[in-house]
Amino acid sequence: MTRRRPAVALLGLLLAGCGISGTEPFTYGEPLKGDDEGGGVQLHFVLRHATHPVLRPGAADLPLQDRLDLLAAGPTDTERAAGLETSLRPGVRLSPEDVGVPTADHATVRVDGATLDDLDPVASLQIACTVGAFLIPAHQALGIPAVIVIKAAGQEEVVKSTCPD
Amino acid sequence: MRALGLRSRLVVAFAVVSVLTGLGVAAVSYLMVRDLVLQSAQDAMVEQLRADVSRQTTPAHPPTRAELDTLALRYNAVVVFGNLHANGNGIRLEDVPDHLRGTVHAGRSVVVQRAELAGLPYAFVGTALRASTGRSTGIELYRAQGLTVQQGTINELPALARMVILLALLPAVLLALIAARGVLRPVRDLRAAALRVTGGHLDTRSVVRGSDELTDLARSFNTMTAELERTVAELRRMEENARRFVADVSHELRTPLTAMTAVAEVLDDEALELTGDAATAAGMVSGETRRLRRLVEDLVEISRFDAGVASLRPESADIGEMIASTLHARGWTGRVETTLPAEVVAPVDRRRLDVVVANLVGNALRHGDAPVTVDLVAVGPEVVITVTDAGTGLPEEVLPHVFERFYKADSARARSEGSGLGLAIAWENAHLHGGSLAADNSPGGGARFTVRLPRGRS
Repeated sequence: MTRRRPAVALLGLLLAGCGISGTEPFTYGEPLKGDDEGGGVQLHFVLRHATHPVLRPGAADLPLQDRLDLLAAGPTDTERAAGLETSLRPGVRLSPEDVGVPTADHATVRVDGATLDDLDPVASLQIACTVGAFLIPAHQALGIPAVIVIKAAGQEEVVKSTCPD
Repeated sequence: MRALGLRSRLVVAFAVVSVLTGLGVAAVSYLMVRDLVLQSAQDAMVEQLRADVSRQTTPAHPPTRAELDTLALRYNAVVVFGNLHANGNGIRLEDVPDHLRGTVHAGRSVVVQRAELAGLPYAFVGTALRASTGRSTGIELYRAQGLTVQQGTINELPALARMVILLALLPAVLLALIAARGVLRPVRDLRAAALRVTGGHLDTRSVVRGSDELTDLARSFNTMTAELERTVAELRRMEENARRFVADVSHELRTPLTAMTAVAEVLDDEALELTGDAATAAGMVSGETRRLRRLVEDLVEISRFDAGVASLRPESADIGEMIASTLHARGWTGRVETTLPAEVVAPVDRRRLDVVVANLVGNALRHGDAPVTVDLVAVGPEVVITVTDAGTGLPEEVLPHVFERFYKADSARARSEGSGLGLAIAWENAHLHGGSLAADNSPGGGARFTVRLPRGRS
């Protein structure tokens, strides 16, 4: 009996490890990058109550004010066709305050036409991530969020740009 | 259950070790090879996707439904943008595991997941499509690759391991047999030597080879048999001396005894004219002289047996007639009941058979009660002579010793007419004929002596 025990254990181990088992998803190497001119403006809209990035044509150094205008304007028809929405109220105007050059990791954005109470968390993230995509170079984007201060009707809110990019 | 022999135990131990080692190695290699095979398949799949993506121009704007179809063809993948998707790469979006989609959607770079699709193993890869700047376009790509070939390779491993284990079993068993032989040969030699010693060959010595524990055992065995041989030789020498002494003394006594016997006979004749103490003394001297002469004759006889010089002069004879004449010569005919069929013939030494019958019947008449019976019967290749008395029989503890020299069943009866050698001489004579003599008690209770003699000499 004593002699059989290791054999049984070994057999159990073998049977347990037999065949090809399913796995959880696991990450695999560096991100894939396509071949292009290096432009593009990333905005963050909403799909199924979570932020979702889109890359529109445009210069990579498009000023932040222009980006915020595009964000406030909401998804294009094509994007809407793909189910993208925005959580920002129509008519809201966004303007940068105290914005450094790209590669800085913080900025302040003023919101006109809405109070902080009108901005739900997803809307705040849309702003933070769109600004973050302007500030933080893409190769740093993962894991290092920008810190964005959103000011509306005299109130302030601090949001980190933690979105799928 | 009988414990296994040394050889079987060695073989089993070697086989178990071999199989266990084989299983262990097989298990470890199986896991390693499996991971390697899968890893290499996944590597190839991801590298292919990476190469395909890096060759293509990233879509410059969010795609329409129609553009998605084009992208699916271009990337040979399921392409997803928002709620829209286009199937490709031979799979549909529903085939892609939800968990993988969730992980890709959460922004992880390249994600792989193994899962079953229609009962077959697949590896799925998913990624967000990024521009050269690294910015995500919000477009996701998914591909799948069947792992059936890899599964086939992996499934062959156990059979391969089984074959290797079986192949390894052969040399293991062979080695065990060789090891067992190395151990068993000295043991077998020792056993054979011990058997030879048991058979009386005290000069047997075991061959001493090598310098292990078994060699020590062989050496001890040899020392033991040497000592045994020496002791036995010493004992034999002493016994031989004692016998020769008895034989010599008996011989030396014979000559004066012959003269004394002659004198005693004269005394017997004269005794009739003597009176009183002189007559008693004369009778006593005469009787004791006769007794002494018989004792010396018996001693000389038994000395011959001991010296191995007793010779047999067989001649074909009618045993019934011989017994009758023996009884007649002793004057016992009226005192003994006989059943002596005629025509029972066997080759016997007349003088010796006479001694045997006379000793047995005389013994029965002296120690047993009447009637004493002598039966003769031919049974198969043997002639069986039975002498039975009607006494109380021989006590159980006496039976094994009844043929020993000078053995007295009743120590109170220290002096008797017999020499104390009669039954011993009868036993020797029966054996000299190639027969036997046995003592037991008859169902009627009396002592019974059975002589068996072969009817034909081989």
